[in-house]
Amino acid sequence: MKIAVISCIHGNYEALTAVLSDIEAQKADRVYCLGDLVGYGPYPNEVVELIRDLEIPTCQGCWDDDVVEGLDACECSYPSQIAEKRGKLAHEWTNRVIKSEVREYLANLPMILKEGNLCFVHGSPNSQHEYLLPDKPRLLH
Amino acid sequence: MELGFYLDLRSPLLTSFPCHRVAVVPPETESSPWQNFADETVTGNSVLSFESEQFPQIWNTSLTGQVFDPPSLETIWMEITSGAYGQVQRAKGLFELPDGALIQMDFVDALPGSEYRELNVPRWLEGRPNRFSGMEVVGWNLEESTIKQILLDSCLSDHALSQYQSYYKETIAS
Repeated sequence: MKIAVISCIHGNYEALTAVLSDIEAQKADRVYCLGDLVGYGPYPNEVVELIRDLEIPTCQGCWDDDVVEGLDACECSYPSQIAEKRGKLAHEWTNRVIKSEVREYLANLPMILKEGNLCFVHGSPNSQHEYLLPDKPRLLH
Repeated sequence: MELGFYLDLRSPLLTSFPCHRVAVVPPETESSPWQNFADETVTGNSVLSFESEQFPQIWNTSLTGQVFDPPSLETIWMEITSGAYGQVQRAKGLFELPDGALIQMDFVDALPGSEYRELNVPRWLEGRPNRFSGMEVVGWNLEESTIKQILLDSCLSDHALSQYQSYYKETIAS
């Protein structure tokens, strides 16, 4: 079975449609999305609506959780000072323009998707805000 | 001596020097004021010539006293030189880093990547550096106010700078 995994779309509708076209061309049997549908990009509502309409199984990302819970929910570390500033601006904008039904959809996304012996998460099985970086091998055991 | 393209080559100041004049010109440039001026012509890189386009802008800003968050500086340098805020032909900068180093960054269109080097000056670890730093960009359709803003957004606050400098001074002492 050919599985396509997509993630971190961040409101980039153009990129999402391009990737979905490629997935279709490659004849993937299943598509899973690991969250972060919103944030940064200019089309958070459109991205969520497309993912929802296509019924693509999706788990909740840290940005999705942020929009539901407020910025303080995120414990992610930004890679730079300017990334943090831009991230906060993007959060404020997204929080302002997102539709109530989209916010509700994001709130109800599962933390974990399971399919047979496969497990799909955004960050780690513990939290969508947790990074599993190479220097944290103990988390994998 | 490197001459700016905006200088008048017929200036008595330039013609009176006892020197050997070398012009580096874009490929396939058959005649230009530079070749007429120079004693020797060297073929340079294939960069867009301003002769065939609108005259480029020169934008610069002093950054004296500002100290940069290094990963932010790396990000915005990449953005600027990649054309996110206008087409850049050349960019040069002197930037202060929180470990007290003063670095030079240099970008030339059509050459791979950018050059980075640390200047051989004392590390400044006591407050805001009181020596020149700044940036100059040559290009077209430059979004000057945005470039200025992202530069400032990448600079450290007094509090952050103080913390960095305390850390580096302790590291050096130990």
